[in-house]
Amino acid sequence: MQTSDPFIQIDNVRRAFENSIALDGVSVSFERGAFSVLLGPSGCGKSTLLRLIAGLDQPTAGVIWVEGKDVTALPPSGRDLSMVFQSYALFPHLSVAQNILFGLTVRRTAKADMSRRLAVVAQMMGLSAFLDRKPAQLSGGQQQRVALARAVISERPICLMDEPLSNLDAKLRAEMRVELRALQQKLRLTVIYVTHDQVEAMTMADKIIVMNAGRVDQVGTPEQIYTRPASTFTAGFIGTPPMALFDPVDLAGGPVPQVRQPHVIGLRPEDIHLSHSGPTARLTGVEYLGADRLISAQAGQTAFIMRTPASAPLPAPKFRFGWLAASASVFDATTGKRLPQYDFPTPSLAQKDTTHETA
Amino acid sequence: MVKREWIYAWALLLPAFVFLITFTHLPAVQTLINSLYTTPKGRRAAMFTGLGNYQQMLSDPVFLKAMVNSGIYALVTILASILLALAMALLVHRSFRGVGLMRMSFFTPTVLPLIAVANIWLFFYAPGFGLIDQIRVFFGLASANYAGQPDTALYAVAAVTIWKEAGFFMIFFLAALQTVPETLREAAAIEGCSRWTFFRRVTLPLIMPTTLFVSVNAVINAFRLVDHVFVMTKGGPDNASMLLLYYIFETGFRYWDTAYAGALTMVLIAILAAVGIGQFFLADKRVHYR
Repeated sequence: MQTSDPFIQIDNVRRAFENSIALDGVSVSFERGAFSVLLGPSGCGKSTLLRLIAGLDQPTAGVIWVEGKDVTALPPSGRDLSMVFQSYALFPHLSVAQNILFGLTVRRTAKADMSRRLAVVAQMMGLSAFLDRKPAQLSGGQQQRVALARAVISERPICLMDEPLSNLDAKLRAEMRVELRALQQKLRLTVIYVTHDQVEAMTMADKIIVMNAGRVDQVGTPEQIYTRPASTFTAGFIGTPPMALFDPVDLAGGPVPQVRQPHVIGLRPEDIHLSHSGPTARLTGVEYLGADRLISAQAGQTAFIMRTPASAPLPAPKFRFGWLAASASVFDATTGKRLPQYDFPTPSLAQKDTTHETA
Repeated sequence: MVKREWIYAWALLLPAFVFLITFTHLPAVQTLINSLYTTPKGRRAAMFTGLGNYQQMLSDPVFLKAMVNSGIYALVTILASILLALAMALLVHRSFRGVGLMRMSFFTPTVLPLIAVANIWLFFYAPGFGLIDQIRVFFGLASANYAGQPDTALYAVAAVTIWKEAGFFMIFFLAALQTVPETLREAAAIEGCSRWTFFRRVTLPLIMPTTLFVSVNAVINAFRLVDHVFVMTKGGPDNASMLLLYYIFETGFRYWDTAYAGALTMVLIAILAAVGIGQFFLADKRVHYR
């Protein structure tokens, strides 16, 4: 994904508001036909970046390229893209059919062409029975489909989505994730998707761009982001519960890497297991999740959570724990950046499985 | 128990009922009854004439003139004040330097009493030294007396009403415009929708409830607001600016022909009721209520 031609290129873009900086020198690229997710906590600038790409807002500095063309100064309609809004932005006084066809109508598409495309898209979205209804007569999920249909019918190659699933209930959201991904693959859309929900990012993305405080923190596949977080921020943001960050002193006795500079060591909850030797921890809490248990514990100054299979016995109030040396992440203590020289060559899935079995 | 609650309810409603019935409903019924009798004179008591007063209207040239004038006046003031109000609302429905001052200046005519407004406009219209005449003379045009010429007096009066009403209606339109979500505009912008198309296809339908409300008010005001006629033209010259309500006042309280005035009042009420109900029924289909 990283190497194919950049379809959309964001070049050192900065967006300053009156008393805050939303984006501070962001450079990132999006590949054709890929599902890219801008992920970050609220206020990280991900929505601002999406609005800049859409042309709904102008950057203070920097250039936005689409297919090698500078579109920074173009109005939204000149950029050949569609957008799905968090609020859906459906026109409440128009019927579903009129909503879907709104763009084609204002662009004066031929009548026959419109009804043909409407039939296809309505069929694809399961909206054929609702075409005469008003948005207020639809459920949240159906409204969401209308918004998607409006984007799809434009047949534009780029589709921007701003937290489109955040107004749906959990079950529907899970269904729509699968549908959205299938739709994107089927139509070979270039999707740029903004969310603060890491599950959405992990399940749908070809590429995740983790953002923090107006900057890009890490770019990579979901697996890269999860297994090799580039900073303590990403480590602490991705994963439920996130990666635990240890002061190396608290891990003395375990397979700690030999690092000469001040550093912290990150361990995923599922990479920590009970052990006969190694550092000791004090049990502080247990959360039962059905398949797994989350064990909260304290090792020296570090509070951490480990994940054990629900079938495994509960640890004693004071217990020893261990991990595979390959699963540890090492971060610089002052900058929070990953120190890649301490990475093991391939943290493969097979190793992770044995971790579970030894536990 | 139920009975006591009813007594309680009626007791609470009683004060309002007393005032409504004494000062609104009884006079209205009395007016209707009076309109079916002749006006009592010193030596002759009121006599039942049935629809005699109404028949008299058909051959009363001043009444016919007042009806035509009221029609023109209503049409002009309703259309112009609504269009102007919408235009002003669109103008100040943005943020720029001095928008607060602009909104205030648009709204100021509303808070002035109509009598005071009429006096201001009398100065505007005054032949020779008035504001409009000064401009006319500057451009080499002949002096004109807008409020005093039969062919312009009605429009001179209508202009004052528009000036006074538009600012008030603007507030309603401004409030309505601010309820149209910004994301709709953005969604339309991405589709390549021009500002005019967006206004016509989205904004206008979404503010229809407000437009209906404003237009009902405008209709009522068109028949109700005649204070400035007293100050400016007194219905003249030659009944050129005679409006129905002003004619009712003249008939009832200048000539004391109370029976005929009562019949005229019934006509006015019938017109207002018909227009009001018709507007709601007609417009209801075209209005999108959220």
